[in-house]
Amino acid sequence: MADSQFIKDQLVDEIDIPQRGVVIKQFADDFIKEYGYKNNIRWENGSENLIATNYFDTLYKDIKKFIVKKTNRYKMGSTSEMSIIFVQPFKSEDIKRQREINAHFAFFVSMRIMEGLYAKPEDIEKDTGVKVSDDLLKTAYLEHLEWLTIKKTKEFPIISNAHTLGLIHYLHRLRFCAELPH
Amino acid sequence: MKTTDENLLIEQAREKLRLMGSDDIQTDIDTEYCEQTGFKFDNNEVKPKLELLLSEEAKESTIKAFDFIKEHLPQA
Repeated sequence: MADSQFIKDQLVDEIDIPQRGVVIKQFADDFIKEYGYKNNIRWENGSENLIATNYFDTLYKDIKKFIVKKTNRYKMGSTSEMSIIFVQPFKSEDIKRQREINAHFAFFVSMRIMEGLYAKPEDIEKDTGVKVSDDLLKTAYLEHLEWLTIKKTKEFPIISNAHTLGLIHYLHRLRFCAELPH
Repeated sequence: MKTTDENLLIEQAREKLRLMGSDDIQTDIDTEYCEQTGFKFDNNEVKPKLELLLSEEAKESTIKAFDFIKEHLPQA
């Protein structure tokens, strides 16, 4: 776990590349702990630094330069997904299995970011009265995972993917929390 | 201020990323248009703290999504 004083004092957009690497590795450890490794899957040492560097370079070169203060949790989640798919930190001899597990890990990280940077609890309206069917949510999750599995690794549609993540997050909150993102 | 070790780590990462083809990465921002027109989208700035990102609540909510996915996709 990352150092607690470091966590307490840092704003998300002020942490640098090595610190981002620590956070990515923490997410990877949580992902592995919850879902385990299947046969012949391994985390390539140092991948967290590649993801953090690629995330930082992409976000600052093409996004923050023009969309100065609107780099919200969805664009952070989207850029993280694209960097993870590009780096492919989980390796396997079975390329299909490799692409699938990296797609799952990418979505795991973006969900952690979207949920972590969610609105303050006191801003949340508890019961919207809107119900989301399991079929609808299943379609949203699985189609996104399928796309992450088959997408070209060097194409980073950060903005349009951020819009998709925004909608998926909206459905997630409605289904599991009866709350809407603000 | 970054240490020499941190700068070295970043440069090594950039070199490895270049070997993987990072120079060919294309985002969906038309940077040429933005630069030509001076486009800047400015809005309310979000300043979230890192402790939110690593919170237990966010982890638990994410796990709900993945347990749901696992239920509907047994090989996940």
